[in-house]
Amino acid sequence: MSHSVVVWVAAVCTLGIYTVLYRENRAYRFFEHLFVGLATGFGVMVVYRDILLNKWWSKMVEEGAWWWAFALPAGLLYYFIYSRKYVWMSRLVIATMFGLFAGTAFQGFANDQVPQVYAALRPLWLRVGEQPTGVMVTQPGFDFSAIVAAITLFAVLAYFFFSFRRERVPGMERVARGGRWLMMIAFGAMFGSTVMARMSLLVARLQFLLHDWLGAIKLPH
Amino acid sequence: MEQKTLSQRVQAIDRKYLYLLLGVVMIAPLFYQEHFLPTFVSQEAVGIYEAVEAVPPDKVIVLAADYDVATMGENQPQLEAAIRHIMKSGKRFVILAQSQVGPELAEKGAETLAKELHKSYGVDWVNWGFLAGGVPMLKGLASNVRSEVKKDIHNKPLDEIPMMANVKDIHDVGLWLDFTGSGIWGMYVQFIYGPYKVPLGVGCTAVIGPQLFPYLDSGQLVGQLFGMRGAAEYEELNHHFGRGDRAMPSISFAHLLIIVLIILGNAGYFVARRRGGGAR
Repeated sequence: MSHSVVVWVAAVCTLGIYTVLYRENRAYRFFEHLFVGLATGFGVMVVYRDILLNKWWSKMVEEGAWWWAFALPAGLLYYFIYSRKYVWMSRLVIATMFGLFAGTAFQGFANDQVPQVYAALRPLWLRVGEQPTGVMVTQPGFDFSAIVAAITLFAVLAYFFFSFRRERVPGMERVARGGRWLMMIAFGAMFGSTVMARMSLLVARLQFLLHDWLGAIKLPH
Repeated sequence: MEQKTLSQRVQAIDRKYLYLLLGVVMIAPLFYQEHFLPTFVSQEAVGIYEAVEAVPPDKVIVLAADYDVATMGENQPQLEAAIRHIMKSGKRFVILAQSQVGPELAEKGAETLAKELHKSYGVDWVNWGFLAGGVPMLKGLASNVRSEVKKDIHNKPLDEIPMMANVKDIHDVGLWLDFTGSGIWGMYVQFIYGPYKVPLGVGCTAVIGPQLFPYLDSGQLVGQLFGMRGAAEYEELNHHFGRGDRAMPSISFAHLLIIVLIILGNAGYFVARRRGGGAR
C-alpha cells in the first residue's frame, strides 16, 4: 500500500466519485464540487501565469515591447457588453476579432477539406503498379473499398439533398433511405468506440487503485 | 401477487448488480500477469511507428500533449509508448501543449523513461510547456520558434539548451504527433500539415477516433493510435508489455459482457412483447 499522501488523496477522491454508481449521495456531491473548484482555481492560475504574465507583462517589461500595453484597453472593451449605453464599444473589438478569425477559418477550411474532396474521387478500377493504400497492386481489378466509399458518398449526399422532392426522381427515395441506414451504421460504430473509451478510462482508474494505491497488482511502466 | 416471468426479471435487473458484475469482469484480468490475449496491430499504428523511424537525425519530433487528467487514462500510455520508441531509436523530441496540464503529464512520463533508457533533458528532449494562442501561436511557431517560446518549462532560456541550437522553425520538425481527447488535432491538420506538409499523426481517445479515418484515407494523417487499443498496439510494436497491453484484456471482457447484456435485454424485451406485456 502506498505511503504517499498524494496517492491517498487521489484514491479517496476516485472512490468518492464512484460512490454515485450505488446512488446519488452527499459524498459524491462533495467530491464533484471539489473537482469543479479545483479545476476553476487551476484555470485562473494558468491564465495569470501563462497568458497575462508570460505573454503580456513580460513582453512589455523584459523585452521592451511597450506596444503590448494597447492590448489592455482593447481587451477591456469586451466588458462594455454589460452596458446598454456603451455596448457598441464592445462590438468594435468583437467585430475585429471576428474578421481576423473568419479569414483564418477560411484558410483552415481549405487546408482541411480540399484534400478530402480529392480523396473522395478515387478510381474504382485499379491498374497494376498503383498504390491506393500504400500496397502495390499486382493484379488489375475493382477496388472494393473505393466502391463502398463511392456508394456511401452518393447515398448520404442524396439524403441531404433538399432542393427538389425526391419522389419525383425514380429510385432516389430508396437511395436516400440507404444513405440514412449507412449513417446509422457509422453512428453505431462511433457509439461502440465511445463505450471502449469509457471502459479504458475505468480500467486506468482501476490500475491506479490496485497498483499505485493498494500495490495489489504489478504493472510495468 | 403475480409472479414475474424470466424475461421480465431480466429486464428489471438493478443496475447496481450490473456495475458490480462489470467491476469483477474488469478487475479479475488485472491480477493475471501474463500476456494472455493477443494484440493485433492495425495499419494505423504501424503508420505512426514507421513515421517515427523515418524522421531524419537532424530533425526533431514534436509531441503535442493536448490532454489533461480527464483523458490521461487513454492518452498517457499512447504518449509513453511513443516516447519509448523515440528514445530507443535515438531521435530527439520536443513536448508542447495547448492544454494546461499536458506538459507536466508528458514530462513525468519522459523523466521516468529517461531513467530507464539513460537519456537526458536538454540533449534528447526539451519541454516547451503550455503554449496559449491557438492558430496565431502555431503560425508564429512555424515561422520562428523563439517568437513564441523564450523559455522551457523549467524557465531556462531556449538558447542555453544544447538540443535547441538547430531548432529554428517548422522546417526543423520531422514529425508532429498530437495526443488528445479533443478536436484540437484539426488545427494541426489545417495549419501544420496543410501549409508545411509536416507528417502528422494523432493519438486520440476512442470517442473521437472514428472522425479521423477520412484523414488517414486522404493522407493528411500518417497514422493514428485509437484509444487504449492504440497504446497496446504501439507497445506491441515496441516489444514492451506496458499498461496499455495490460488494460486490453479487461476492456475485451467488459465488451463481451456488454454484448451479452444487450442480447439478454433485447431477448427479454421481445419475449415480453410477444406475450403482450413488458416495457415498451
